[in-house]
Amino acid sequence: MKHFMAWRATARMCLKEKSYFGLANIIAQYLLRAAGLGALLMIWRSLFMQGADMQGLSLNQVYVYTILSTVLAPLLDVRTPASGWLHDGSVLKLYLRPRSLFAQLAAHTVGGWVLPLAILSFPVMGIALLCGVDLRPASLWFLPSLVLTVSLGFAVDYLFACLLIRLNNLEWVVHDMRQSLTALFTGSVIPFAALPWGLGRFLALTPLGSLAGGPLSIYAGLAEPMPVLAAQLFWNVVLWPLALWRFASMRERMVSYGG
Amino acid sequence: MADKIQSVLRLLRLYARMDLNWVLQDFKAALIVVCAEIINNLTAVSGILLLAVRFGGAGGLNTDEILLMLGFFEFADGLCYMLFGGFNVLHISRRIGRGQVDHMLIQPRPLIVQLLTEGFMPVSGSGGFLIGILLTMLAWTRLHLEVTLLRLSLLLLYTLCHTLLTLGQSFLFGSAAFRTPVASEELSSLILDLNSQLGRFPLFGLPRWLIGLLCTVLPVGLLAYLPSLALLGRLTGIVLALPVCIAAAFALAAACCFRAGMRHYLQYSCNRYKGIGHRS
Repeated sequence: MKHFMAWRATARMCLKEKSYFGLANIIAQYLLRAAGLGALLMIWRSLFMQGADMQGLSLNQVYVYTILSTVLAPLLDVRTPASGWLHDGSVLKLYLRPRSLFAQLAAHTVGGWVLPLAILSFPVMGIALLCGVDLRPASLWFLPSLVLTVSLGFAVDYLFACLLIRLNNLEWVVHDMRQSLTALFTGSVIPFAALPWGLGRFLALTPLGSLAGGPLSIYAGLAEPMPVLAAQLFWNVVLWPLALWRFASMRERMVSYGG
Repeated sequence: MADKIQSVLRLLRLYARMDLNWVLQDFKAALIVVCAEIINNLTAVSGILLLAVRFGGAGGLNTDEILLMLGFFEFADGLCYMLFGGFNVLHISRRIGRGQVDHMLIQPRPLIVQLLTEGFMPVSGSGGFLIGILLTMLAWTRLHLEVTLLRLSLLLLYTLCHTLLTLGQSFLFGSAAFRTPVASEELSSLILDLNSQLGRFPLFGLPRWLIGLLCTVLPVGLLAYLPSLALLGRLTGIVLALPVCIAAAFALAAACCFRAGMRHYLQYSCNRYKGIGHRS
């Protein structure tokens, strides 16, 4: 219980920290995401309107996929503060506290989910329902798939933190590269089923492809649950030990700028 | 006037040499940065391009026309980044909000000259620009577009408009940081992200009012979609002048707001640095 209270207090601290840059920044951030979602929905609509051969995909399925990718965005692409704190030196304070490093990072991350879920996710779901989008899941297997995605997301994030340490704190480079790689290869923007040349079938088996694409495809009924869950389980088993081992060995290489 | 131009050119040369020196001093890091930038730009265009390939086009454009639009976006945006990407000139709200305008005011150069020159990164920041040239040339060839003086003039004109629109929006919204430094520190980045996210989308099929909005108040449609339609010869008449008018309006509004903000800054400043060098 004591551990949980400490964990909850850290998460609450992080929630408060998210409003540090003020209301203008928060509103602009969420408007930006909402605009991105709107643009993508319009693209799908125009594709269907121009009579493109969607090869089995229905408009509702791609709508559900796209809306859910925005609604669950923080869970589908887990970003702990590790990379930023490595860069500015804040990571040192984690070592001074009587809690494990990973538990503290996890608490901060979960605290950071509250604001986007409250400000963006619930309103978007409400608007989608009012617009007549059928948001019912095609299969409840998406729930265990989402849990595996979150778990895998933490492992992938720690591996990116290791990469950052290895590249001597080129934070923006790693951040930008990750941003563009995850947008395309995790299936968070375009469903794998909509990619040409059977590219999606290959990407779904990769570690990045097991992140957002997995639960979203199951939810929208674009993929069979069992192969997706098997791939996610496999990458969890492989990447978690790797992330822990690499993080432990990289700890000696940590260098921060501070300030 | 000639002196001023010479001074600007001399500074541009200086910043170009500094950029090259950085590459030569830490070749490994520079290589990583350039490769990462190439990957970023390729993946940024891949999403919409893959959709176009799979469905034989998107948003009223066929695959090659989409390629031209994406190529133009990368080319114009890459040029803008290469010219103004360094030292957060493009992300001006960061400089203002962090109180770093003080650093510029003590330099023995006019502010405008510093803003025009210090962001120049022809070596480390040219990835997007080069990819843009390659994609535009590839699309141009595949579409069998004739190289005419009119087309080349339009290409240059709309590239200039793209740069003015990007800078104009960044400086216009970024000027809010003069009054609310902490809250508005990242406003320019948010605007640039919005441009980058929506500027690559074709607008065909959207409701008319939305197209109107996206070509005036929030001019993401003028960054690549409208220029590419003009290059394809699908636009005629007064619409061709729309990017020029809107870019001029944004540039003018940005200049006015920046001046007003500077007046406020000269009176109140913005002290966010502590004695030990950390920022609050």
